[in-house]
Amino acid sequence: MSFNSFAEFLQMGEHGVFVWSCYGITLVVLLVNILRPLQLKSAILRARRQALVQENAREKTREIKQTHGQAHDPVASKRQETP
Amino acid sequence: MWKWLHRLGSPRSFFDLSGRWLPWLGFLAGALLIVGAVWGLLFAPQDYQQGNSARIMYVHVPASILAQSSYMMMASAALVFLVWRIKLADIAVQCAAPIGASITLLALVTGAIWGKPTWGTWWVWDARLTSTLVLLFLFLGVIALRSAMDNRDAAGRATAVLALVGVVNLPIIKYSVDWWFTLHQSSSFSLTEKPAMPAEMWLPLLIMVLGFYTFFFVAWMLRMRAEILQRESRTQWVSDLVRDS
Repeated sequence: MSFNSFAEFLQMGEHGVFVWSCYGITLVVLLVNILRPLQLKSAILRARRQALVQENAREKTREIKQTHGQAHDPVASKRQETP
Repeated sequence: MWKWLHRLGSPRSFFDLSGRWLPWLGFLAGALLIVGAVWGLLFAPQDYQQGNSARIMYVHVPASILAQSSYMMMASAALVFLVWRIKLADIAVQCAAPIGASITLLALVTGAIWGKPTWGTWWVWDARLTSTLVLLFLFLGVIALRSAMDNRDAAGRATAVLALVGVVNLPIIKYSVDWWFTLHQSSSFSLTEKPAMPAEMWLPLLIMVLGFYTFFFVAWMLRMRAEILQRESRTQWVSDLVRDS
């Protein structure tokens, strides 16, 4: 080991500020490069899941309309009355 | 072999395969970086001229090497895309650019911080520093050009051409320390020659270089996976993936 104490290790001669800022910045850059794509991926999956849920809901209402016939839909029946 | 390569070229199989490789690669990158950093910071001897500021070498040199290599890898993907029109290569170009830009910025910033106690200045407009700054602008140019164009095919082709043209900067960076009189020292670390420093210094440096490369592949794959999901979000397999998760 090149240092006799923890304080000496932190000081790095007179170069503590320089050495530690470099390692700190490196850590930040590496972490951002890992965390950002993971965040993107989960955002894309979340958006897709919501879209699928909405699609399913729309399909269900369409099915209900078809089984109960068009007459029960007040908007559709009105539309038929007006030429 | 060709069949395998062809399969890998489809975004979906790349997504599956990279999902299997990532845990291992991620573990390897983390282990290399931790071992290299602890070795470089705690156990490597200090430089007889620069003292402990030379420990910046263990992040600055790997970052600088990776900055240039990542550009080379991005340009290779660009060539593959232009010649064979493989969609995955276009995704690779797009995803390498932001990582490469951040690593180039890291090389410049750590270089400036190392320059202050060693040269007495944060920045000089010398050949190596300037050509590395140009490398950063090339990465940023690739990112900006893509985001400026709406048509994905045209954007892919234009960025690929820009990435290829930018390759001329790489030999300029490499030989800048020999061609011009500069403050930056010439290379003391290469694959083919015996390093001009003791093993206690170049071994942790080598581990850090390998760690940075592995890290790049991990970050690259992660970004490509997100981009694949984005581009293929309307396909059946992505819908299945969403339902299963």
